[in-house]
Amino acid sequence: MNITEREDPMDEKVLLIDDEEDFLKILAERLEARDMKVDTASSAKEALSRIESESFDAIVLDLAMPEMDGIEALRAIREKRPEVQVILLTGHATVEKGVEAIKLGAMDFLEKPADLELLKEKIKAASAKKMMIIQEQSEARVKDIIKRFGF
Amino acid sequence: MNPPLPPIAETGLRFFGAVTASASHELKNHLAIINENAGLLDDLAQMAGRGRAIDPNRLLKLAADLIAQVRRADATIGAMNRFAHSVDRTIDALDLNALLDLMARLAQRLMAMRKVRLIPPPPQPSVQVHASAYFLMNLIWRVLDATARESEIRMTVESAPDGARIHLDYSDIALDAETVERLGEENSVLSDIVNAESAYDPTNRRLSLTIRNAPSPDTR
Repeated sequence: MNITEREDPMDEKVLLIDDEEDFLKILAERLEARDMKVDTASSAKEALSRIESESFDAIVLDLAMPEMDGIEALRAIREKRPEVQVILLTGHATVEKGVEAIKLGAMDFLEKPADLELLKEKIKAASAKKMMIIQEQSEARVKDIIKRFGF
Repeated sequence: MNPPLPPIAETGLRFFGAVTASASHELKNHLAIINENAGLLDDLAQMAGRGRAIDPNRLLKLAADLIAQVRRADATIGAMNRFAHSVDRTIDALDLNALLDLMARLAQRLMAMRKVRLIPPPPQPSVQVHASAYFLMNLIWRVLDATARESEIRMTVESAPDGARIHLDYSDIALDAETVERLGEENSVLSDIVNAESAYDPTNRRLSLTIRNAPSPDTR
């Protein structure tokens, strides 16, 4: 698997997934103006293919999309990339869906129209959480190597 | 304990809820885009305040995008309003072209989720029938909900003796006998209310609803 390396460790790398292309375009532009690296996908299928080859700090996912809905997409993303943090951003907010999403491992849930500063904070928190998970995984691997080779 | 709702009331409430949820979802999407456009205007104004030149064409594009979203939202609200007024009269003289056009708009999201392209009737002279607009839409919604998946569905209307006929032509799927039978059984009460009979032509993948005129329009 070819993972694209981040160019600047200070920039959060975000994938926005929404079937409303006008929304994607403008939200991407505003987040980029806030020093984030942003990629977009207008379907869950496109997003899943993107995460095969690229690593993201956070994924902002619409819950209601044609073809594969957000819950299915969330499940598939968590299977492929358990370390990546998913924030749901949707106009279709029901308590049941929110609870289901959190149970499936979504990090947070925001309703449209959302406050950009709040979304930015959540993306930064998602990025920090992902880094912590990766760090823990690395430590576990090192401990395992030490144990196996008896250092 | 409250007594259970009669099935037809529950069916009607579910229909009302589904349409309202879908329309409010659409409105949320329009508002989200308007919100981001307004936010971008704010970003640009702040940049201009710090001395950065702003391309006037950028502002014109933003204004045009805002107007387009307001129009989309207005169309959604207009459809909701027409839907809400469908219960004003028990029986009305219905223009089926207009009613199916409204159905296509109301069901747009449900259809998109099913990968269905629902095509309203082409512009043509009015075909009328005397029936309850709300219950007829409820019946069509249930038929679409039960049958629509990964296909193009073309809706057309024609006059019929003592009423009118709605055709749903499925481009890519054929309905099996079990589905057709279930449609009849599950929608028998609604069909009775609007004097409708359904028939399926498997050769042409055409589902037809023949609606006979109700005795007289309610002019309350």
